[in-house]
Amino acid sequence: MSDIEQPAGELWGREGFREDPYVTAQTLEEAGDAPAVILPLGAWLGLTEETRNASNRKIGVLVAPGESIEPLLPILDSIPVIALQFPAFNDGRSYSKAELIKNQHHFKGELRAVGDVLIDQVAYMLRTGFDTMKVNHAVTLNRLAGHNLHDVPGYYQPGRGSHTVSGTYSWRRVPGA
Amino acid sequence: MYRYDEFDHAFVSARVEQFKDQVERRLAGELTEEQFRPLRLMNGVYLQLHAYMLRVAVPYGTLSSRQMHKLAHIARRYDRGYGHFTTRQNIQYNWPALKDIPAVLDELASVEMHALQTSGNCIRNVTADHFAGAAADEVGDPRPYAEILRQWSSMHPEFSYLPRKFKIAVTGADRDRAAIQVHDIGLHLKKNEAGELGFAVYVGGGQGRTPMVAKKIRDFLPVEDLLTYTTAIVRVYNLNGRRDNKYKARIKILVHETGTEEITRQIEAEWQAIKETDLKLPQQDVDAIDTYFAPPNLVQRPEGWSGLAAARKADHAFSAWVDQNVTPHKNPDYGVVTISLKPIGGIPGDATDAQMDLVADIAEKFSYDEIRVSHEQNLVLPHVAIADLRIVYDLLLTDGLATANAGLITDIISCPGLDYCALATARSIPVAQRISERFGDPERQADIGELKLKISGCINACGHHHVGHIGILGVEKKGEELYQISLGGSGDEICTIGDITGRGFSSEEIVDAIETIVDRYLEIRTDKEETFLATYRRVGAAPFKDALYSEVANAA
Amino acid sequence: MSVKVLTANRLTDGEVVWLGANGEWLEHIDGALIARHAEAVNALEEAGKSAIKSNLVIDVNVIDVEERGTDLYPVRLRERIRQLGPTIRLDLGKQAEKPKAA
Ligand code: HEM
Ligand code: SF4
Repeated sequence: MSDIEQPAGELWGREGFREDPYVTAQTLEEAGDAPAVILPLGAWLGLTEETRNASNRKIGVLVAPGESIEPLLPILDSIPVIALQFPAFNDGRSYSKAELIKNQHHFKGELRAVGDVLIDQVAYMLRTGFDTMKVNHAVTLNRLAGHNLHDVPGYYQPGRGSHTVSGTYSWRRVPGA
Repeated sequence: MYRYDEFDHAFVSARVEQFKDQVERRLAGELTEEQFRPLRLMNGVYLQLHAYMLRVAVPYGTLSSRQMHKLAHIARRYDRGYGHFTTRQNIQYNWPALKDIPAVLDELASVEMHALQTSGNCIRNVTADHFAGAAADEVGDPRPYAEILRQWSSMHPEFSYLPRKFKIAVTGADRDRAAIQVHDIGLHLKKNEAGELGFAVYVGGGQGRTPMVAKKIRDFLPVEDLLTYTTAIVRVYNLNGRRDNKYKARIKILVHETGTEEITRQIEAEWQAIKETDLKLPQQDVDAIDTYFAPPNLVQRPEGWSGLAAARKADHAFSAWVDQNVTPHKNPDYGVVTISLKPIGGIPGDATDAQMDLVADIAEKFSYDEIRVSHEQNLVLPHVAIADLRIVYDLLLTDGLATANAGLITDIISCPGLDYCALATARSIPVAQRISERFGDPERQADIGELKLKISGCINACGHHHVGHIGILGVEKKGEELYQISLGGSGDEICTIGDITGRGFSSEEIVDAIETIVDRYLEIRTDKEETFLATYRRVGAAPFKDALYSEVANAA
Repeated sequence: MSVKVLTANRLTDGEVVWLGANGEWLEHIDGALIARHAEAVNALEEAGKSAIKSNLVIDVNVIDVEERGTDLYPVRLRERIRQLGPTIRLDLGKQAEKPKAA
């Protein structure tokens, strides 16, 4: 085991770990007066437009793999954070959703992965458009703390956080913004 | 053939290093089996009954002599002196120790090979027509497109955790030798009226426990749209494919449950949104990959034909081999040679290290350094001068590689079955061996003509039994092996799933049952030109069922 | 009557092994720890779990065997093939290294 402290409950992004300003709640009431809340899709869709856009708090939305993101697409501008769930590491639906949300529909807010994330998946997530992850897998947390992303030196697909290389095929990329 | 550049080398070595680290952590007890299993599967490492198994990808079935020598070396040094060529154009080693596997992967990387994506719920090794680049009937070489797909699908960030495995096959001729209609995506390279290259796109074929023939969803897809369109298909599948039941998770079920029209609409809609993105293929990239597959500079050898006629007259066995195992080449001075890995009574698809070395040597001297692995578990020498056929035959003969049975009843496809496989319900290889012996007489099998017999040792159908003209499925019933027969399946351009005849046969009965079917065919065919499949399509199952069940009942 | 033994594959090389009466993992079925009643079967299962935890073996299973004289004869064909090796390659697997004593 690594002796690096596991910062469970914190949020990881390309810059490292940081405090998560959001609390997760089932309903707005349950969240009390927390300034930043993430609600499940059903609850979030039940809010009035006015509440969602209220200036005194940020309300993000949590989407399960089986839930459709269609209703969010027309109003992406009003969402501060979308959290896509990975209840099990092998349910890959949220990768495609990330791609749709970020790359096809140009979501400007924070896209977050939450749940069972293996270290080997982190690089994939960043490339499909996730900005941050909230991970419960101990090994993953350790490796993230050690900045070991298990990445490869080159990619065979376009994606976020990579750039083209001259003199090779159009689909290839190398890591780096 | 394709050669790695620095980018590819760096990628594959990074993956080998990662796996080395993972194996070390596993052996040190830092990873549990549960954590390690998905990692080893990503590197082609399974556990079978007796040992681990390593599945090495042979992308679109193309090998150089150097690569084949390496496969022989691995068989000798890390395994038990042989390998098994599979219907997925892979080679499987049945006895490697876990601790040796990183070293094997290093060896493979040194000849530009790997075991990546030969397992797991990702886009698997892309397969292609094994006569690609040589066959006389080819419209275009499918391999450059298979190579582009291979690259694009390698460690795909969006598509590495699909609902289930995903198999793509590409063919470049109207005659489908790659069984594209039983793949998740089948691509048929063809020309439109303007003479431009593109693909007919088939989606949702598959075997396994619910066999289905793919649906054509597009008649012509321009080459430049290959990756955008494939992305659209796989994305629709990734989002909507079933994840609640692993037996319903393949795209064939999604296509079936959604309906072809609706799924096509969804795919086309997604495609419209991404058609003009970075994945649109620039012609210069297609051309650059194409160059790697440029046909070798074949020397004109018109002298071959006269010598051939004489050699055929002098040696009946050689003549039979030419008839059966040599297929027309684009260049009239050349032929495409099928090396049968189905010696009479042998194990379908197995080759010893010495045989692999021999094939590599022959290919180097007589086939412009090229070898193919066919999905029929044979090897192919794609460019042999007619003038060299005799010497190639003599060399093959020295190590049991000149069986003249390509496409005949003894050219059996068989999965490993219960002799190796942890999922098997019955043995398949011994059944194949006994059938092969029963029909081994060259005159007899030549008289029977083209007949594709395929055997699987369980419902997963790795042995393609659903598309066998005669298919055999081994199951377990009350602790005994029982074999079900299906008839009339076909994996070519007129793709059909075979019909089950009725109750199964015991291990003792199965070979007689096959003989009964074959004898009935010989009785009722209109003439020698009417193949088994054609006869079956004309008369249906009834005459065969009659023969099968009345005769067996009488004998009992 | 059939009794039960515990079998697995060794982590390092995949070799088929059985849990021995001496607590070691054996490369041959002779000397395997035999469970004749439910409690003993539970004990086998527990032993299996702890062997997985200590990363010695994988794919652990309790299987049915018959006692035939002094020999143990696995009931399922699958297990007999694991015990001996591929039926189509008598030169491979355990059958190759240990000719059955007459
Ligand atoms: C340890 C060995 C193997 C295991 C565990 C295994 C596992 C499986 C499974 C579970 C399926 C069913 C997939 C589904 O229906 O969704 C399958 C299908 C298939 N496998 Fe294997 N297999 C093995 C060996 C082989 C071999 C040796 C070959 C080639 C000879 C092969 C080629 C195929 C093919 C062609 C299919 C059916 C096509 C399809 O995916 O629909 N497999 N295999
Ligand atoms: S068909 Fe069944 S027995 Fe044969 S290799 Fe596939 S999984 Fe194993």
